[in-house]
Amino acid sequence: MNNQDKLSAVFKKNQHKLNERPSLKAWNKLERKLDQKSSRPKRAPFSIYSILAMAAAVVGLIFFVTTMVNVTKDRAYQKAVVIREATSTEERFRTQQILAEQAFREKYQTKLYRTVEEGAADKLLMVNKPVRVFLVPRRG
Amino acid sequence: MTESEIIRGCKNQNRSAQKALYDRFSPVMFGVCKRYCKSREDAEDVLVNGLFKAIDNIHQYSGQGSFEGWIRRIVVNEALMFLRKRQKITVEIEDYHMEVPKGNIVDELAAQDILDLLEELPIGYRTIFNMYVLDGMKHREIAEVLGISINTSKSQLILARKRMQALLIKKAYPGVEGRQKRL
Repeated sequence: MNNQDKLSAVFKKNQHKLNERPSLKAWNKLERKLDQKSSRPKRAPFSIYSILAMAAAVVGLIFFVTTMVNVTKDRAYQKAVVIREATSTEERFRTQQILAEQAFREKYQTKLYRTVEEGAADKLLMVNKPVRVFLVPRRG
Repeated sequence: MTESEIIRGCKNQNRSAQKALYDRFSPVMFGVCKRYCKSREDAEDVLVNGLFKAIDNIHQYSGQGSFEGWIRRIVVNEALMFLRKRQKITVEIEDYHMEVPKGNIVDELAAQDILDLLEELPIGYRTIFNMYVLDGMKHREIAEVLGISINTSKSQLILARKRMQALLIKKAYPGVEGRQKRL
């Protein structure tokens, strides 16, 4: 047996000599800890009210997060938009076109009128519900 | 009270079973704590906390393996936590080729001799020496618990052994018989 192995063997062989009864205070401390643990009120199982409260908290949290995300998106969009005057003729024409489209939507679509798209030439337009059909000007 | 009666009693929070567990295992576990801690007071605190955790978590003992080994592991973990709180367990960087004087190692060591020798080792060496040689832990476990690499654990153990061997021989350690002769 080399010295390294002998060293380990000596410590292993003699370590039991360290065994010693601790002082009385140690048991008193342990007993106090055990008493404190047993006198601690046990956590009650989840009641219906706590489950409802947790569900409400989760819904509230989701609502808050969604609102915050939308607000952040709006702010980001507003920051991305640059407003300037239309300069070229093409831009002015396009602007007028957009305004006209907007006016058309406001006038007819907000009143819940629906435009009827033109169908194929060999088909008949049939109305299967008793609704009133209005003629509106063609868009653009 | 048999071991299985102690376990059953502790699971039912029976105070006499808890006392029986304390009476049976506290001397051995106090020895373990003394090896890791420098003072008796600290060792007693670690012992109390370790045994409290063992009793509190006794339902986790599956019955497989030695009950004493299970308690020992909890107490050792508690001692390591204590050391971490008090002082950082640092690893030493030392020359591998440290000269170890030649000579014989005694067969017998008294309890105080063991404590004195362990006291002379730096904290990193002492902890790894305790864990590997005396508590039978593997390098993988030591590395995991102390947050070091397996190779560091191995090298620290080699250095700890060399340092311990040098201490024993350099001081011409007389051992128990030598002391008795001197007296």
